[in-house]
Amino acid sequence: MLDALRGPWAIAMYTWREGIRKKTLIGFLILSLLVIFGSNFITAFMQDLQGEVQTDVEAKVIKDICVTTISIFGVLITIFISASVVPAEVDNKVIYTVLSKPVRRFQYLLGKFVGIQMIIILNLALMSLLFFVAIYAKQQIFPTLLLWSSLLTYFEFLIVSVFTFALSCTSTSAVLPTIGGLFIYITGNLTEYLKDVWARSGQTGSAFDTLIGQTANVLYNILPNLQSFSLKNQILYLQVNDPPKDVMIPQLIAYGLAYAFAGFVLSFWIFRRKEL
Amino acid sequence: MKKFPNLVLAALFVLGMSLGAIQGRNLSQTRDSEAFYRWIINAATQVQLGNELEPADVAAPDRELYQDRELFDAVADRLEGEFPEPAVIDEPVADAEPMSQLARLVPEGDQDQVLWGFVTGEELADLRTDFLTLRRERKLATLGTQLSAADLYSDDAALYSNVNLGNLFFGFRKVAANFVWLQVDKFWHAGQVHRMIPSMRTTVALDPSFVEAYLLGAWHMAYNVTAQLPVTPPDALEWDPVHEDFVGPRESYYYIAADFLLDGTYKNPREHRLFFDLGYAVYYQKLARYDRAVTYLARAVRLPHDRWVPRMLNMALEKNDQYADAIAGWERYAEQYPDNISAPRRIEINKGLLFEQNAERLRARASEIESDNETEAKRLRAQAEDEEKKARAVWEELNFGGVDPFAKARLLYMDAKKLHAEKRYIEAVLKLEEARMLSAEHFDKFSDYIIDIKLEGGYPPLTLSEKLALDRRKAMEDLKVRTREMREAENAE
Repeated sequence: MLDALRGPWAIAMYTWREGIRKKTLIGFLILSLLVIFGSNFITAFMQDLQGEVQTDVEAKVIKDICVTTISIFGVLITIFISASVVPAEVDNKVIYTVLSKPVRRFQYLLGKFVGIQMIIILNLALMSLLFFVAIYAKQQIFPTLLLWSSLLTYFEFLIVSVFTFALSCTSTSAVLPTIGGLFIYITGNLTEYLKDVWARSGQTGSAFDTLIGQTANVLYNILPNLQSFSLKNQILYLQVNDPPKDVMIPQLIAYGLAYAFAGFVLSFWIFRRKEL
Repeated sequence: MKKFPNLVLAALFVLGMSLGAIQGRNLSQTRDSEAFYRWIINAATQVQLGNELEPADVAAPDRELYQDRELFDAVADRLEGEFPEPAVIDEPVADAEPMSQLARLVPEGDQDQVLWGFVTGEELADLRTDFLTLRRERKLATLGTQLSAADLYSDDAALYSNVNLGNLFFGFRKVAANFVWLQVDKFWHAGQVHRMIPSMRTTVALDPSFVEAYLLGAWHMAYNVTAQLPVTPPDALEWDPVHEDFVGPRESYYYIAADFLLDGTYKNPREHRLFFDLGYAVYYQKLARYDRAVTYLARAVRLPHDRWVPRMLNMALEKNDQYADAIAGWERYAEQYPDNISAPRRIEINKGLLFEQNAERLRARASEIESDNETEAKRLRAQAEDEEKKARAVWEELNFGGVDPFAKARLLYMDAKKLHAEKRYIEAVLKLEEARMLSAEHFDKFSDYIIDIKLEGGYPPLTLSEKLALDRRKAMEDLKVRTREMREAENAE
């Protein structure tokens, strides 16, 4: 078993080493850190005559901007790295060298995927750390609920990452998977509208209207709904012992893992049949 | 796997997607349960405060469509007796309306786990479905203001749409709310108040947990907007059936602030700052409606609160003539914060006021029964004398060395009442004039008493400002009579 994992681990490590050196990734990370750092000054417009800002408002603005920045730049990093890893190796023919070794395609793919997740986790950890520091500087308390927010953000990225990765297995260029990844993120956030379409269907009595409603209902139930992870924003303002939150966190983790499994299987299915 | 690889992979893929779909369904049900759970807490809090659950605007054409009360009563009846009673039970107020266990216990926060168990279980499954239907049809007022695309169009569309503009922000509505809030601040500094109010409402619709927006927005409306507005003369006041008060331009802003904060409490029922500002900043300071101030401050005190909140509750109790409760409150406060220097003084003040109140009630009772039972009336008067002696002893001890203007003012007031009873009008007026200058808290009350004495005795003559005050009083009484007649006529129709 350990021998079987040695190959994927080695691939994961070199994916990680290659990935953290990518200039685009570093650029996104630096930009996000600048925005998180700059959030401290965003309330400069709201100073009163004594040059002070209400601490509560300032802390709230910082939290919201940081969470949003982590979401935006985090998802860009996720999409970029997930979309580019496999096509880049296919394009520069490195993949032939790797697959000529006694490494199965499954092991190769697993290693790549694990390497991608390590990069995402590192970036998320760095941004969260600076967020911690920004909040501590303002309120002198450690926002422990931020840990849960970061965890939920990771599982949201996991879903986007795995399906973008699957898309990248079909392509020799990173452009299509990148666009696909953005599309997955946007549609994942708009899945709630399918529920509204289903709820309002049938009012005209037309069979086509009913069919649309039922299709919307099926798609709503099948497709991943990234709005479910909105708890990562609310959690910073909830009480510590909030029963719904305590139930939803493990449910969201299981949700992310289920789709990650499906997406990885899809990736392997595509990659297995790919002619190299 | 080797024999039918595609089949196996397809099966695994379908398995993964199915697990995701099942978990998604679980999540969706949990989120629905969460919405129901939070609505129950909100509604129970409002019922405990004595507020109506449906919108109070009687002119609203679709008021009857809202079904908050029916749904809440159904939930309360279903769960009556299901919650464990706490060990320490407050003594019920004698004439208070009986309250369901749900309204009594849920707002306190100790029963959250129990409530969650019921909400996610089978006991409330049918009512949960009703809640989701009513929410989708927007027939629940206690959900508070929500941003919906359908609100931009006709009321019919608003009833059946659940399209939420917030989703268009991809979960970034909090940041959008922050940027709108920065605009509100900009408008304030530019003096553009008319642009502030809709922007404030947009901010809280985008981010209902933005408590600071509620607090600052209400402060702007109640304090800053009205700073330049004059006090409304009685002939410019109009009866507001929603708030049951006479309002002019200035007072209407106070109620806009109150309604804004109330909307905040619908969405943040465990946030003490909203209840505190509603009770103290608006009802106590601006509207002088101390009964409502006590209600909201009492709610604030039962949540995790700041140190000054119980103090302001005790002050509101005092203003609302609930002296015994104020004494108990100050004693608890002094025990909790022994370093506080005002608590011992306020305890004595309230004791003095309580004795005076007892004396007045005894005298009033004696006057009522005098014609039927002279002996009992005489006994009551003797008791009233004893209470007055106790009050005087409190004021004299408080004013030892002549250092306490409040106590000295009360002593002068007691002297003035005695002189008034003896028809020594000029001396009574002189005492009151000295008293009202000592203590700003008593200025209005003592000034009105001076006018009453002068009218009764015919001398000394009224000053110009007293004549104007009398005109205002008469105008206000005429307005109340006219309004009462108008409402009676409307009810008769």
